[in-house]
Amino acid sequence: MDLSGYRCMWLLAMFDLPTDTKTARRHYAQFRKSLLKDGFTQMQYSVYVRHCASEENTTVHVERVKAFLPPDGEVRMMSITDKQYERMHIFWGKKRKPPEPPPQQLELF
Amino acid sequence: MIKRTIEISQQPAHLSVHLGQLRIRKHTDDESAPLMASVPCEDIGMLVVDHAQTTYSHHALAELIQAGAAVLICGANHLPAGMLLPFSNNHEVVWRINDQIAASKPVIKQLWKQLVVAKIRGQAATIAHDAVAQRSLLDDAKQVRSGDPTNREAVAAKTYWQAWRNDHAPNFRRQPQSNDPVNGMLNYGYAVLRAAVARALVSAGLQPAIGIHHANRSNPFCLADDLIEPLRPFVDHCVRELSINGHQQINRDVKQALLNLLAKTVCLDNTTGPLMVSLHRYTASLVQCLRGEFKQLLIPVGVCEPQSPPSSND
Repeated sequence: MDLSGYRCMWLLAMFDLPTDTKTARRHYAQFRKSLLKDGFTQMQYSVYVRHCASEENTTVHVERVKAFLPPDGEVRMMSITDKQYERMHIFWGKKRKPPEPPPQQLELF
Repeated sequence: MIKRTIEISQQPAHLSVHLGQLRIRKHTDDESAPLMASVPCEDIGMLVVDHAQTTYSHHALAELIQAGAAVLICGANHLPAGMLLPFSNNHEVVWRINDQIAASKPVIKQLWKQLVVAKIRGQAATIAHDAVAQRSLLDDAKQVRSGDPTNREAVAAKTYWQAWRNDHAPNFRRQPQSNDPVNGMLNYGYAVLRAAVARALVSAGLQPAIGIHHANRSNPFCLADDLIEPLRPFVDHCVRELSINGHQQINRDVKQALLNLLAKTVCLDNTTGPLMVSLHRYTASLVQCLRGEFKQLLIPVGVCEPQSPPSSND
């Protein structure tokens, strides 16, 4: 019940950071590293995504990102349910590909 | 939020950590081994490793422990042989262990009574197909007194295991040391639950070696063995279904079914949720009972079962 596609969330972090000076590039690199350390994966150049098992968990990660925001530039965060995420259209060249499946609670390797 | 369970047994893997993410790579001599998965360490609740060629980096183990994950290492017989648990980082761990040691005998006996009653009622729900045995178990449950001096637990077990038999296991006898498939499946399920309970105990600041009823001098998980009693019927029910469906050995489907028990919906204190999450409230209520704040232990029950009636004062 708790693990349904309507409850699992994907948290998107989208940003536009300046890269004109060396300091700006360092802030960008630190911000990106912090996102990776918090469990985000890179979806596109300035778009990172993290799967969260519940809405409460997305709040945790939003607060964390707020804590390591860079001094300059724009960061946007949006959470959508797994059911919405799986409806994403992804095009490679002209071919459409399905979005990555959500991680399962139990995974066997 | 329920943490994730990862089981590695199908292929040899190398576990390492990069930027807080557990990397599971296929274990080959080739440097460019393909990445099978990258999972945030903090999202992992349990890692069960059952492949003999698995390798770990030190950092991976350290990060997993720090993230509060339990790492279960399976032995040659594919049953969990040991586990890696963090030393407690609960903020009141010293007080709570002192409460455990200082708990009075009457409190301990009352808690054991509640655990036994819940266990027998859970067993009764599992053998609903045998109405006579079920009634007998429910009667046994009513007769349990503080500390269970007449050992209703053992009496109920005898009726229970006979009624538990099914066409695929007509002469089944519960023998933990036995190697037959059904006992093996039960052992695996119990070991997984025991690890989950031990993890919840440690996270609640309790010392698993200080038990309520179990007190064997060489058992470092006495308290986990006590708390797992009312949860055993969940495993029993699952294994019975597996046995009826013809599973003769611990294969991938069996492991999946047993590990999925951690995500099974249970009811605790009139709220439902996954079992692994309910274990935290279960152990938190034990802390409160040991402190003398509450008398009633909150025990997870199956969703269709009625909650245990409040314990009378013996």
